[in-house]
Amino acid sequence: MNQGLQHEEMQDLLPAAALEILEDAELQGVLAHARGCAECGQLLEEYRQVTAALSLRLPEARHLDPDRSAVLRARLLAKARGGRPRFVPGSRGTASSVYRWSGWLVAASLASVLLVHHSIHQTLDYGWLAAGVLTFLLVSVGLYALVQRNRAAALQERLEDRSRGKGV
Amino acid sequence: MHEDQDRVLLRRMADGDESALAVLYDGWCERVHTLAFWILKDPDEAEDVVEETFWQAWRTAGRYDSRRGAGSTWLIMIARSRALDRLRARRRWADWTAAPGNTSVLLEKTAAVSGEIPDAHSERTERQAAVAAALDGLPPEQRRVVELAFFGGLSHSEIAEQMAEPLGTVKTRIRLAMQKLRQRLAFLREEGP
Repeated sequence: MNQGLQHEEMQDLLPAAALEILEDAELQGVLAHARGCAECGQLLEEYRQVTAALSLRLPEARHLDPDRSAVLRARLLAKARGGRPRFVPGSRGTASSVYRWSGWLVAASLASVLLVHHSIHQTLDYGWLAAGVLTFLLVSVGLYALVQRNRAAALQERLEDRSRGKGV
Repeated sequence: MHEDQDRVLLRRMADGDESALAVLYDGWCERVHTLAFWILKDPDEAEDVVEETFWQAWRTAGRYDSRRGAGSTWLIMIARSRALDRLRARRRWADWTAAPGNTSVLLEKTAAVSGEIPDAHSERTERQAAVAAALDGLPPEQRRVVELAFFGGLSHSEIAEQMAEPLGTVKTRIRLAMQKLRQRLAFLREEGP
């Protein structure tokens, strides 16, 4: 397709792209063009400002309940303070030490299971050892589950960010 | 809230300063809630959108590029996207367009209310008046397609179906309307919405 013609067609679609009312494939095409074209990139941003400004036309017909707002605010701040680790590309997050040691903990737990199994079959009085090892095993499995849950949460956030990243 | 302040707050949020999130929330929660409520017509869902919007802003503040636009634009666009995602997911648009609480009707009914906005928000009131004048200055058919697109998140073809107009006509109306609004609201480029 002629580059000039494509540019004009894309420019015509910028208002609809800013309003996010294009079909997904079409929207991605316009956004890709805008990323590589300074003129269209600037225009798209201006149309986004227009779109955001339209919200000013809305009267505050229903205020956010102050009590509910306080709850929302407190919940947000609690989450921001570390309820969930923020994903930082290239880093292993705040639970890095747990990540680092989790593999060893699981390996130690498996070794403990073998030791207990061996002690039972050798009919030695290793009951105290078995209790300790089982406790250790439970803690290790718990930590491993925690690590996996954090990993799943981080992956989910990345997916959400990626899916929400278009247009904003 | 002043635009420079929003930029600073978003930068602080990107650095992990949750107190900046608190200030941003205090400054914009009502506006975000209002937008979400008008789109969703559901106070509970509007509150969910408020939480989702500021949480997303917190998590992605590092991606905000102040050279590309105002922080408030970025935040409002997040809020609108979140609200429209819910609206579209639940296939409510058919109800929305048929409901007696249709936004354009409500806007007309409440147009006179703008004078009741407190003086403390005079700067915002001026902007509200400018946006209202720009929107009201559009030909009715152009204003209607913008409202269906903005509040309902309807696609070109859905708007065409809703208005029983050819698709090409709808596309042209949206383009012309947005071009006019961009010209009339040029002052916002410096100040943010």
